[in-house]
Amino acid sequence: MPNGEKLNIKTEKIKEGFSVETKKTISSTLTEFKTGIEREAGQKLLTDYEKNNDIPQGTKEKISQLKKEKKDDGTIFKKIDGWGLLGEEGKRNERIAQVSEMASKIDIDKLSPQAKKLILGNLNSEAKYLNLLHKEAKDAEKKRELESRINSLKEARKELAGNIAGEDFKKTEEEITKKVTDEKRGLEEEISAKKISITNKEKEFREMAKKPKRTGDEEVKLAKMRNELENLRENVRKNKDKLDQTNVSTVLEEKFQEIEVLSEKDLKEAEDEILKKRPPEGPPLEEKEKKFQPVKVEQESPWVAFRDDEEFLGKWARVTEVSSDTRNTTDVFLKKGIEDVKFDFASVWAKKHKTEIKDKTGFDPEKVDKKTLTGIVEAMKGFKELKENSDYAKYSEKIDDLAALRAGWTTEGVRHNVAIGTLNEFHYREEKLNKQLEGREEELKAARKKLAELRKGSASYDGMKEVYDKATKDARDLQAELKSLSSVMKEITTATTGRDLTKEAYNSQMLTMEDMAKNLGTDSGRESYMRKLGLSWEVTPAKLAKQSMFDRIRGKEPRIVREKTTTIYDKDSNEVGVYKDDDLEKFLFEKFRDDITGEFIGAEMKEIATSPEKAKEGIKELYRTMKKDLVRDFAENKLKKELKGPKALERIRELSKEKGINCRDAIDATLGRETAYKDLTCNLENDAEAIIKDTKRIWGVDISRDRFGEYVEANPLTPEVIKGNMSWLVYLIKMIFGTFLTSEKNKINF
Amino acid sequence: MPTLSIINDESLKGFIQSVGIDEKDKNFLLSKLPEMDFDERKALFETLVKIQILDREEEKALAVVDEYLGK
Repeated sequence: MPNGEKLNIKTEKIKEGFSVETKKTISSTLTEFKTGIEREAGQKLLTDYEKNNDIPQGTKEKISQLKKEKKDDGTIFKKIDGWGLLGEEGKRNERIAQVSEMASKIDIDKLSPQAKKLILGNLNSEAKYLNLLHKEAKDAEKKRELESRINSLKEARKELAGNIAGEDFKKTEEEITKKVTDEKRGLEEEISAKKISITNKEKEFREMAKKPKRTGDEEVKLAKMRNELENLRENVRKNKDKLDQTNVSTVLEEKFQEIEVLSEKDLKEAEDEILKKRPPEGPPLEEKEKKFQPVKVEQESPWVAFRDDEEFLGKWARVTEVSSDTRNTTDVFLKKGIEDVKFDFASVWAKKHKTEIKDKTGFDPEKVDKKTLTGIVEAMKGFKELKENSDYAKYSEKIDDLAALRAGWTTEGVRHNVAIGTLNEFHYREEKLNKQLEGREEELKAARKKLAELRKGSASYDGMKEVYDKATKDARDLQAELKSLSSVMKEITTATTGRDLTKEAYNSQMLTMEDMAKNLGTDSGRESYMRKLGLSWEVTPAKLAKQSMFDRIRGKEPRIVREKTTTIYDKDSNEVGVYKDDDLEKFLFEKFRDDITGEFIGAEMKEIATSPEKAKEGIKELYRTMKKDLVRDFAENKLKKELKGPKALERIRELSKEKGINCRDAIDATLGRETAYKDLTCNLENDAEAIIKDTKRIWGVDISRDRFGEYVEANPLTPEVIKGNMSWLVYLIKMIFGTFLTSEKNKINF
Repeated sequence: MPTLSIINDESLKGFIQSVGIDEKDKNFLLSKLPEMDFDERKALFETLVKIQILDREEEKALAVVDEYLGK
């Protein structure tokens, strides 16, 4: 392919985000590149330093001294200010090394195209160096190792160049391969044609040269032939060289160099951008990968149910696309999680070092805000302790876990345990935010009340208004964050399974009374729940009667003298009670039932009822209706029974004669054709209407509707109060008490 | 007609008066009581027990709401 000719390749939109593999390769190559620059600079100064006239004598002596002290070259280079000694070029190289080091630590996804170009340039330089090493290497194993590194680097460069140029470099490479193959074939054909031509010309030339006597014209012709032959041979040589040089790697390299080009200004901006970026929290990528597996999913989260869900896993395995919006929002919340853990640690650390902080900074750690406190602890090197002191292991582990989750969202397909771990985290964040919101709402309520009082009087209420506005803003911010959190949780489940699993997860958590009953049947289940309730306990094991040797030989079970008991203590170490296993199970189940119904009602009321007061009226109305239904059922049965009797028929006949009204349809609709009325001898049409009127008068029941007994009195609470909440209330009551009414033990038998 | 003490007129009257239903329903049941046979009395007793259970549940549900309201 002729040099400089650009490939006309159809560009395709490249997926956002680099693979973890590429990020790792880029990161390690940039580190190697930085080390390479330093090594080269070090060699320039420290090899044959005594003969180097650019190094002042004093520095030479210092180097000599440090070498005697067996300091390594890196330390010596720093101590003698090596970069400074290397002048302008040294300063430039120092900056390149700094940029490269920083770039190896930051997330390449977040960089601008020009910063990515700069990184590509560094990778290109390192690739050239590796190729050179490969060429010079004699050891086969060394060659293989270098080949592997060169190939990984090539793949990473392809992904990076593709990202910058907006091209799919896998396709580019295919196109290049095709073009190169075509061109090589063309060159080969041309060479072989020229070779034939050379053979013929040589034959002709030899024939002519054999002639002992040649005319002047023949001499001229011979000279021309010689020249022609020479040209042909030269042409073949050139084409052969061209053939040797034309290969896919060379063309691909040219493409990389083309993309890498940056103006001086852009280069400076790109370097500044990289140097200003902060590396992400947590350990480097490779460590994150290792630490990833044990991401913990805490027991109480609703998402635990999905941890071993094969269906979920199966669907998950097919997922490769998660939108960049979802990834970004997820990252924001995970990052907030890290900040919160850091703050929690900072608070604990600051409490321990209160006096020290006051003395050194003048700040009272109890009176500064979240950000300032974290900053103070950071400045006082408190975070060093986070990594080194095992007392703070829980914070550092949590940060590592969250960092691992963040890394998990940078891959092309997001893994199941990353999603579950993230949803789990978000669940706890939701709980935390809800608690904060409750607090803000309380403040708001109090502020509203106070403000209303102040408005009535003449006193200024500016200060109070400030409090009120702040509480309003805080509450709104929290609500917005909760909304966003809930929405990203829905997105995560929808993107990965095709449906919103959040409701299922929470419902599965709410409706696990049966599971809980099963769990509480075991020692471990009871202990786990007691732990959750914050209770502590002591077990007094069962006392068994001593066995005679004879009993032991017969394998007789020892008699229980005293049963095993568990003494429960509350959070303040007060004794709650002493229970045998069965009693403990009952006690804990009752607790669970109270908890779950209480929480559920609270949550549902907030979600559905327009206000708790209205929900209360709705509950009253619901019970009123249920009780009225019971009375109605009783009345209905009694009426049916009466109407079946001969006395009733007599009465109906009398009434029918008196009123003379049509009522066949009403009888069909209310009592049915197959009832005792089928043998009614009176005029049915008249009778039924009479029944309707009579029942209304006697029973207070209006049966003029389609269904018998569907009497509805105008009630001031219905439907204005309940509105659409009735269905919820019915569900709520059924959920809580439904099993109670229908369970066998509560049935009334006479 | 054999009558158990729990379903005689006095017991059932007291029971009807104690449950949480409106006056109209109470009066209706009280008016029908004298003419009720044994089976109807049993059925009424069963109905009243169910109503009493609902009374207790209502009380509990309202207590939960009160708790939520912070009363």
